[in-house]
Amino acid sequence: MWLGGGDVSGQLDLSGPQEAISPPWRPHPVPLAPGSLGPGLGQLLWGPVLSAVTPGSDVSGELVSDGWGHDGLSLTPFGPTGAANMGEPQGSMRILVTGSSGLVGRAIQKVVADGARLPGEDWVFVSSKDADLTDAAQTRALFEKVRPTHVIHLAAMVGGLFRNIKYNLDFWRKNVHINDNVLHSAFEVGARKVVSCLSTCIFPDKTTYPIDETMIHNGPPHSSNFGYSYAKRMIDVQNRAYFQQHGCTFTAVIPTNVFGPHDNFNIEDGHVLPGLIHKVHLAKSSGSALTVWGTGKPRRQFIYSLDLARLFIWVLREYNEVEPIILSVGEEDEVSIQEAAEAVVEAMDFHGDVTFDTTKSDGQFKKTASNGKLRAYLPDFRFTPFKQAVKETCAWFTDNYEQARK
Amino acid sequence: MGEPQGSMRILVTGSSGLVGRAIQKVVADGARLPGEDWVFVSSKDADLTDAAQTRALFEKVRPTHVIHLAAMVGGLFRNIKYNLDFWRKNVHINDNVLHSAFEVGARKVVSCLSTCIFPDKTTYPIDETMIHNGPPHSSNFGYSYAKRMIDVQNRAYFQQHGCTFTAVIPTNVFGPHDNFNIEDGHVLPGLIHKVHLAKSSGSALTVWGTGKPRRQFIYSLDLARLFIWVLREYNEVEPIILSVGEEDEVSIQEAAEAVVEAMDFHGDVTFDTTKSDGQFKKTASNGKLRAYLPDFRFTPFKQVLILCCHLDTWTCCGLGKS
Repeated sequence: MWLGGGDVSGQLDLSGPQEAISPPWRPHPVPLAPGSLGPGLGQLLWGPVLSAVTPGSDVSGELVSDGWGHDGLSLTPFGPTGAANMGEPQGSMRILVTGSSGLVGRAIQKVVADGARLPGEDWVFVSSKDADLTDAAQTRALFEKVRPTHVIHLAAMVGGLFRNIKYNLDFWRKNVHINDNVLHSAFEVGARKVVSCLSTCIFPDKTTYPIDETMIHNGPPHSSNFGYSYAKRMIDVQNRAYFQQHGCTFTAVIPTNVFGPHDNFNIEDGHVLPGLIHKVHLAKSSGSALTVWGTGKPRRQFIYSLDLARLFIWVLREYNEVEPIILSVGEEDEVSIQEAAEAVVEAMDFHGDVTFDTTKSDGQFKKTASNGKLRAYLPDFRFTPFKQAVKETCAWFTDNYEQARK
Repeated sequence: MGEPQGSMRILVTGSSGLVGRAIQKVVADGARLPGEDWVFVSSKDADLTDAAQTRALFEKVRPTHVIHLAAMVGGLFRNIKYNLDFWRKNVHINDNVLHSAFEVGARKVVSCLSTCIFPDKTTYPIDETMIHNGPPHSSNFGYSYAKRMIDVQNRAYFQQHGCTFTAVIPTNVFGPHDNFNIEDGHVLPGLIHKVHLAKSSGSALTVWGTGKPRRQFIYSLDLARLFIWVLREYNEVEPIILSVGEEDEVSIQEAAEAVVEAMDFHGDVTFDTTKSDGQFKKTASNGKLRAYLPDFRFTPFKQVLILCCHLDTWTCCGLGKS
């Protein structure tokens, strides 16, 4: 079992892109119903024990697969029978991941399950079903039960441009509460390291390019989502305060535009690449044209969620600075929205017309971020080529259209 | 406490501090208007770091207006050591107060920022538009960011709900009921306390630093009067600096000389240049205030010091508790 005890071997392979999604994901355990806990630590989390899984093996059992697995998986690590405390981590690390059901969380789950888990590592994935992290008491209870040594903190209140513009107070307050609850609960249970997740959208609105890790606080963020942006920035402030006062290694990563399976593909609310994928899908089904919003000229660095997940795990294990680190492809891999649209069109074999609705806002023209710091640490890390990652994501979306968030 | 009898019930948090006491005095001395209910609270009444206690306080008082002064504060050395606590406690206090005020339908909240929260690297004079233009000084970044986020949260209440939650930014405040602790307190009360001790023991006055840094000092009673004006008349969400003008900036040496004169001290005055000077200047523009109140007159600096330093008023200066 790749969670809890057991000794599934697997090293984090940083030398190149992982194999594609197929062959199909090995079946995961039947969703855990309350009260149906097995006795062992791994079973506590995931229901009936499966024999140790090695890559490529064909494990029998109920296949509830979405191409990635984990759909409908109950992530509750403890249940009403009073499995009150997971006890001390068996091996060297127990890693709690908040926000596991999101784009990045799912990618980390997959990378860990695919062999990235090291012996002695206990990975516990939780989501809003397990605790309301805006509530201090619930968060503390979660941390006291799980007793993590390490935390990957992905949970946040997120939304598209229009929601952000309207609800800056809620985006500020809820995220500050979540972040304070998670960071302080982690501190109180003695977690050795917390890696939180920032975003390039929080950088100063007026800035020079490329942006880098030292520039986060050099001026106000864009006004449209200032609530969200300041809440994220304050993670970095709080990290530095934990270090200054207590010597903790609480840090953060800063991804550029993430994409991949399990994204929010809602056209109004989601980000540009999943929006394009959804639009092409609809255009194909209805035989209409693809209309790209804006001029197509703005430029972005896209990072595939699986690559981000691998890097996140490297940060968790090896990156010991408190100052955050940008996780992104290089500046040379920046693409225009038009090029991104063309990649989606090609991946989905779309033959209709492509037009640009220039009445729609372009958003920021560029947000070019430097990945120099990452490259100084990992000069040989190879990102999945953009077109291949787009192809995998499009395939996932097509195969999982019904369940996809949209 | 039921619905406000008249037009306004004003809740003042942090009433026992330097600024809170000054507002109490100004109100009691005649500034209170008919129909105004002033309710002064301090940590004895509620622990504002606790959301439930804060909410209970606001539900009991049901203010229409709030002057929010309560904060975790401390001198340079405490700030350097406890950035996490200064950040967290103040964020909790501020969020609890602002949100409780919002929930009981308060029409206006005036919070209190500080010129020490401005960007460390900046041009002068600083003004209200510059608060977020870069990181604050690293020594007290926890406190500084917590104060800055009051302004962020004010703007968010306005954007999402149309509330008029705003803030003032005083420069160096001084007056009775200050913290006169020499290690922990600010420069002017520290000087007053030192001169008092030097007089008693017949020793020299040692001023820390070179005496060259420059500051704008605002008397707490003047600040209180302006705070009340802001509460009643200032309706912007963007904060407003409350300070004497740039032309009234004085050096630490000049401030020390004024204290020496006010306290009739005849001993030696030396400067311990091994001690840190702190920021050389923090010159703030009071242009916005002057646009609103061109005729407001500040109490002259030396006159204030005479009041503060006079032996007869020692106890009211709170020296006993330093």
